Amino acid sequence: MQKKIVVIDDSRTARTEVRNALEPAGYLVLEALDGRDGLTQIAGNLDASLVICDVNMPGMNGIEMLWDLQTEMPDVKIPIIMLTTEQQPQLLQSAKQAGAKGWIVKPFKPNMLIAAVKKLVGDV
Amino acid sequence: MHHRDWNRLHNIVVQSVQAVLSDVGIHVSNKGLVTPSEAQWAETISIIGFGGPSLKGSISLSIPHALLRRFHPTGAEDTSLLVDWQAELANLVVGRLKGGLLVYGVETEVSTPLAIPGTELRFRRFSGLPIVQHFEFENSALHVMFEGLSDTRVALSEEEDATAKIPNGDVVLF
Repeated sequence: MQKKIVVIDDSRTARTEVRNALEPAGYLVLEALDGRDGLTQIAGNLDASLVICDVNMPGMNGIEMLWDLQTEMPDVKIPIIMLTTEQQPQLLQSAKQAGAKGWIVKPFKPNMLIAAVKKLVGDV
Repeated sequence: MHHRDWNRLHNIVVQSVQAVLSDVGIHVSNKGLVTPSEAQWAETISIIGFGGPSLKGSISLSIPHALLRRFHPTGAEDTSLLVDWQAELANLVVGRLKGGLLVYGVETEVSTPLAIPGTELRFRRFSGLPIVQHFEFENSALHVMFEGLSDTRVALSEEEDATAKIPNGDVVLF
């Protein structure tokens, strides 16, 4: 069965780029528009293998979503990797403290994204 | 901010724009400054703000739709997707700018980008001095307007700390 990956980004282009990288590698990609929508997608797909989440989004940003996920769904242990233009080490530390498992600075290279995904979902 | 540091900041903006556009295949050359009214504004302009305790401002990115259509990473032709990508490019530019400032110890937060029709751009309400950089790719003109306000104590002339930012394209797994 295909592993599900939830991609959260306010840019439709960015979501499509991630989808185009992951679908040929055999993953099923679900999309969400911001942190709030991401929480809804996660709640409806508790069997997802991974979440890829932008940081800088309107409404609820990626770091806020991480904290909300811990509060609202503490039993959910889906690994989350941040995909962002942010390069600030303090933000990376904030994400790590909030439960993220990785940080990728945009623009991403598809082969590096796939390698990180495979590692986090246990496909290597 | 000292004149020399403003120049350094404007150079970071130019380098950020060139790096982001080069990554997507648009290898622009910088042709220097024009006034806002001299610029050939494209169909839509993406705008993104940034701000911190010592520096704040905005970047407006104008790229002709013909170029966006030609280089769109997923081959999109629909205007809404071209505008979405233009906004994402502004996000990438300001992300690089933010990283470029970090190595000088200047921290900023970034807004989410928005896009407006080029015909609706107005030049009346600037708080700072708007600088418009003119770029060219083949026969197309691209423009990037930078507006900034800084604390007088801000200096970009301190020794750079390259470790202050996570490198572009880096993958860090915890």
